[in-house]
Amino acid sequence: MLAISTSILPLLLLAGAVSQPGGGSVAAGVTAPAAGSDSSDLVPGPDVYGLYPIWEETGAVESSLSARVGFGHAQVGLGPLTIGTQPFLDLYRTPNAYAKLGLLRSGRVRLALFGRIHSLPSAAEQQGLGTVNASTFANPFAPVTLLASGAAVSWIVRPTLHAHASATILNVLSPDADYRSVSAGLAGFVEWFATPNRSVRLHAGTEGWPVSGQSHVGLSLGWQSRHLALSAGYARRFDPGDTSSGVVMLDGALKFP
Amino acid sequence: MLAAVAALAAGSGLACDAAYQGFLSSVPEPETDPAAVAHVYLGIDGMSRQAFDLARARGAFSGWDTADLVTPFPGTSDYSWTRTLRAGSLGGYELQYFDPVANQMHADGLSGTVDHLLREGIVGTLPAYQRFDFLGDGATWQARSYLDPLATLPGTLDELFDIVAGRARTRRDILVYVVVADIASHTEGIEPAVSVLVEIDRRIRVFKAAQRRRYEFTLFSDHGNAHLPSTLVDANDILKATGVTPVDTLGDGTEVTGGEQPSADPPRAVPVVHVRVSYVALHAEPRHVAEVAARTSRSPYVDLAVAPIDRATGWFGVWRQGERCAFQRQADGTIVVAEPARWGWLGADLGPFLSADGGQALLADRDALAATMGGGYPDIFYRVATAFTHPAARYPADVLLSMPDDVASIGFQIPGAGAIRANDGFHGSLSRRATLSVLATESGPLPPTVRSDDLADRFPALRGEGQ
Repeated sequence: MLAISTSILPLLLLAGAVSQPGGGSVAAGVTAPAAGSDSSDLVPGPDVYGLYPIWEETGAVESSLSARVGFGHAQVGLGPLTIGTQPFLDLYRTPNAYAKLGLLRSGRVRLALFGRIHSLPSAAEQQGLGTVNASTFANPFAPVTLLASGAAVSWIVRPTLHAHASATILNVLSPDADYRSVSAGLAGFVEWFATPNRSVRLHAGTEGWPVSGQSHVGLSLGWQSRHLALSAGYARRFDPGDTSSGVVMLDGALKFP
Repeated sequence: MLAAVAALAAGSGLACDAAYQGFLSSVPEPETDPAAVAHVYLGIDGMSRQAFDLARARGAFSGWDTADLVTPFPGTSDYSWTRTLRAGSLGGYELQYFDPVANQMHADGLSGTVDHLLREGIVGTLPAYQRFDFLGDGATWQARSYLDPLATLPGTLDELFDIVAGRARTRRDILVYVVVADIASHTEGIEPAVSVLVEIDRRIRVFKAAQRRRYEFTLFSDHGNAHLPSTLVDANDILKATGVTPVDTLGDGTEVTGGEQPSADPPRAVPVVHVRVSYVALHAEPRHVAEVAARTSRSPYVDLAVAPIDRATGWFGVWRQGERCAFQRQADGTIVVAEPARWGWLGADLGPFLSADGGQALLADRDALAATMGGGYPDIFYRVATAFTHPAARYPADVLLSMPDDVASIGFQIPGAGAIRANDGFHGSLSRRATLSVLATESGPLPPTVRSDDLADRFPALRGEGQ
């Protein structure tokens, strides 16, 4: 898995290098301005991935030969296919890769199928730099492989209002039977662009059914320019038995071209 | 610039941690045995017997069985948790320590103070704290706890109980930690500490009522607290005032603090001054140990000075106002008290254990514990002896100063930071208040008194087994 994820990075960089300026599209995030225009002319495109982990996805894919490399995602568009990895998870010995195939791209609707694989080491909960961010999930005795697949749709309600929803099936594989499970979830977010560069998102979803049903609500802020996209937010995850905890959502990426 | 880069790197790393743990927590975990009882061991830093009893008087922990918990000496968190959970060793009793082999102080000054905060969970966490499934909620947990302990508590407990519920899906033993009671005691006195305990009790009841699984909670701690506003003193001043020269290193070529060279051969000692506590560790050359202990014990800011007299035979001295009392702790734990008549200040009934001539008292280990529990210095013989012999400190002190309940070593002061407001009660000394914590459990009967060193035998999960 490490080989898979690391082998994608040169491809991403290559894609960025060969892409032509001005080739961006709505799907790439922000359409390039015409010569002489200012940032107010930018038209925001639908997000090409979700921010809440595992369960959130969008129906938009990268434009062909467009790419982005950042904290949460490094991916490239190859025709209707977007492939990538989540670099920050590699830091935690969790090699991973994903692919998303755009099925439909009409004026207002994007539809895609996606699949992801994450390979978690034994005791994944102890891989952190510190120990002040504990996770409810712990696998002290065996590694775990996450296989997530599903479909996602994005609807451009208005140029400044985008809605995204996804349905995901998560298959957890492990040599230890205690960790194995199959669960499903629905998640989505609505993004409102206050300006072409700045947006606010409202996140919600319910997931992990029937294994351990969770739900979440969250809020995040986005800022993007032609070559940079930043997002940060906070969600509250509600677990069975009336307990809850916070989820920090972060992303930052350079976009190419 | 270097500090800024380091802070940025640490901040980025912690942001990564938060995102990573958010990712992990989104993975559903199956229930392996919903009918099994989950045992939750809640380590409450600085939970004194006094505060616990006041919380109980308000109805908290009703029906729980309790025992006096005799914590290690010196009662500092890092050392005590390390020793209680059998999680390896520290250089000394805190992160800052003096290595007599290299003749060098480690982790002193500002870097040591910063290290103290970082290694309690943020980065490079000490093994003892790694034992806990939950330590704190986010990178700023300590800072928030100091700024407003009571306001921090609800959010911390939200996260704590979420971790308990999640981990209990596949585990029968869960260890969690709460620091707020200790911080509240230092900064605001006993009343907020009691409120913290009352709130923890309420949240436990709410949590258990909402869960299908059955939980049994056990509370324990690392030290007590004097719960008295304290005079803050500099250990260097104590040494100077009692005719002991504070130095930075030992042996020939000793560099003297302040640049002054000794004229003859007055006793010298290296004080380890780290955080604000009611004890001081001193290192001295063997020929000076007894004299350093005797002199410093005359300070009004020192209650007792203790030191090994002969490490090979297990004889230890306890100096009080310059007068030495001695005892021996044998390999099987038997205590031999020399000249029992000199120990009247201890408040222990040694009568049943006197030799025929009255020259010694001979107490089995448990007898020594029982005989001293009602006095001002519970389990003093065991606590003093093991302070110098327990492997949790690789470089134990040569002399330990135990301060009165209303005195504390001011610790390292950050230049330009001004006076830190914490002065409302400390721990570390041999006194009853600083020593006694409580073991409280829903899981069954307890003996009246338990030593922290025995907790991991009673509850194997505390030493990392059964998880």
